[in-house]
Amino acid sequence: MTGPQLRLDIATIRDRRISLNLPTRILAGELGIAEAGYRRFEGGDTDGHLTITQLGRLAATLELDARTLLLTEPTTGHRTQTDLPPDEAGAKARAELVRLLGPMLLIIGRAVPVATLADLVGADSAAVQAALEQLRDQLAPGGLVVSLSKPGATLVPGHTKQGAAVTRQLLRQAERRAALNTPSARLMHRLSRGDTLAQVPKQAERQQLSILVQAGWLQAPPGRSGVPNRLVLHPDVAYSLVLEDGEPTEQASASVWTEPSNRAKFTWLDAEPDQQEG
Amino acid sequence: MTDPNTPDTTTARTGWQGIRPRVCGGPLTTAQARALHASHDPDRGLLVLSAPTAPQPSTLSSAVLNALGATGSLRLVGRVADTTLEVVLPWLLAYRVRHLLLTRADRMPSASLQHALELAAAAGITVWTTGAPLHDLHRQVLAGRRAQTLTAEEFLTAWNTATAQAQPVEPDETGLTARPAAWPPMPADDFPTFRAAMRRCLPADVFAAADALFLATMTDARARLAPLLCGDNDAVRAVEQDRPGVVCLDRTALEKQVSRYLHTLIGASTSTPEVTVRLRAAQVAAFRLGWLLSVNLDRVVATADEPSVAARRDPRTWQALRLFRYPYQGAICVLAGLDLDNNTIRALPAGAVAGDGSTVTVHGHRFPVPPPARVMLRAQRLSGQLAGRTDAQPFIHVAGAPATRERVRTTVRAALLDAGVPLLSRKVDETWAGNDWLNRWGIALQEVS
Repeated sequence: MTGPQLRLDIATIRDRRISLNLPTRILAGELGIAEAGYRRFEGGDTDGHLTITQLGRLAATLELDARTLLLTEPTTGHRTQTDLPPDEAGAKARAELVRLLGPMLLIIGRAVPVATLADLVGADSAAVQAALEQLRDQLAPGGLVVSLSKPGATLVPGHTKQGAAVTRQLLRQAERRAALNTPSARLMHRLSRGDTLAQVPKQAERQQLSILVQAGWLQAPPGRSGVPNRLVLHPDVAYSLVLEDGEPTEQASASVWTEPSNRAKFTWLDAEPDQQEG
Repeated sequence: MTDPNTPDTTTARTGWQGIRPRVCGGPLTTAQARALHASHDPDRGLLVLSAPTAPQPSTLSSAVLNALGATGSLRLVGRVADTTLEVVLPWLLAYRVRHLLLTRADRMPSASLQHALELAAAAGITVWTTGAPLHDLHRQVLAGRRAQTLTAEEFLTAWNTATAQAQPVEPDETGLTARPAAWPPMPADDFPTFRAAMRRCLPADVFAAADALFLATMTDARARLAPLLCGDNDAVRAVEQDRPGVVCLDRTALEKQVSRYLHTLIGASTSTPEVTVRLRAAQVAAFRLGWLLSVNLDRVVATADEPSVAARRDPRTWQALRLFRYPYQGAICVLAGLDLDNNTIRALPAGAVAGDGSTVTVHGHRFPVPPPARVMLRAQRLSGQLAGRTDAQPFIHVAGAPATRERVRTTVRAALLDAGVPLLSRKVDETWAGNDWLNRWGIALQEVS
């Protein structure tokens, strides 16, 4: 075995969708794929690959924890030389090595010879090599690769199409979440006060809504993704703003005043009204 | 007779040729090898490291510095030129290292072993090696130093005796073990999702502590910011009002008052993660009052009147600063932590720093240095002495040249970014531009309702 692998539980997804009476069109829209493609996905005619974002959206739409959509099953691979030893002690030692090596590679952040790692953790090189292979299998779906090139083992972003897409998506969302601009803050504050949006928002407002949705600050209830005035604060935002205690946000009772810049150039601004007329 | 606990540069120049390396002639079990690694303790003068497998001196230097905890800042990773042997020697002397154990020395190139023995001779260190069988070239190098080959049992006995005799260089006044663990890095999310990101990323016990701090700070911030943001404080009321009937606040005065409050939060924080939690809580409090408080974390720290008091009192601060590889970097941070300004740091003569790094005398006033920070001052002082500098010359020098104002500023800023230590203040970061929020206080305020 090369270690446990995860696969989607298609049967649970289909059963849950039927029990919620959700059409395939809705789920296809949530995943950003064609309806026919979604039907093939449910029929099992697929590789079963979803990005982390897609999996999250699917779980949210089905009102389930994402972990319940995944099945863990042992698989056999072609790398038989890295198979776990049959005895439990060996497997436990391997798991311990993996637990040690993962953070170590992340912290060091550069290539480390396998022999050095072996020396550090007090194991032989073959065991470390096998643990690194297992680590590679575990991290590959997240777009990370344990490189085993000549200088040694290191952790690098993956170059596969799937891994790059996942990483890009996460980075994009992280970038948006790192800074809230003023127009978006105004919209978010309105929603946090319990205000509703217009049925057909203006274009500028729609742009801000798009940013808020992409950053994961707002979300639509299942089946209502196309209706802007149904958007609500994401539960993460409500929790972070401590809105769960039922106390809404307040409206500002004051405003800021800034001295106009370049006032010296516009002398009539400081002139008396009668002087201006004259 | 020379006290072995206080090596000086005379020793470094002449070398301690009388110390014989000790070689383990037999194989060790995994448990024994692990026990040897566990005895690594730079504060007691014991270094244990995996022998480098490349022949370049920089590889050996890097391995020794890593073993001392001087892993280098993030921006220096991979720069080979920054890890020369000249940088290593002051550190070995400052830490008063007595024993250097190289494990798996059989994988070590003979040139690297030669460098290690020369370095050890210069610093008066006993070299111990494990790993067998050794190559003929290794034996030749070791024979030149009159190495003593022991059996595995003899070797372990001798090593255990040496480690038992090793004493801490500094008195244990820090109480490090009694203090809670340092804060882990915090999520990069802005305040709308920061608390949820903390819940997701941090271990349960750490999150509980961080969340308690977050909620307490939010309550406090609401009480402190409400009078300012509602215009109840005359100091922030605008004299001219564009809109009648609306309370108008002077943006400049408001930013100044709010940043003062944020600086009190920074002063109560021991590390950057703690600063982040407090500032995000203040942002949430402002948002609940109808204001968007944007914060540029680096800038708001730099505009404080003085370095964080809590960070200066926390011994973990000085431990974290040991990551710098150049002695002048750690020394600048220690002096900034003593609340010295940029000019004083650059002009301070070497003679103002005690030989053991315990005190710094400025304008007749003697500042005591916390024990964990002394090693950094000692390393810089030894670095100057090895370069032939006198006590009247500036204490802070970079490869013999005086440090510039910018160098001091960037070094203390690096401590904030890489070590998470908020020692930056306006005394060091003398950049002030009143034109835009990014360069003024590092905050921006706008009502959003």
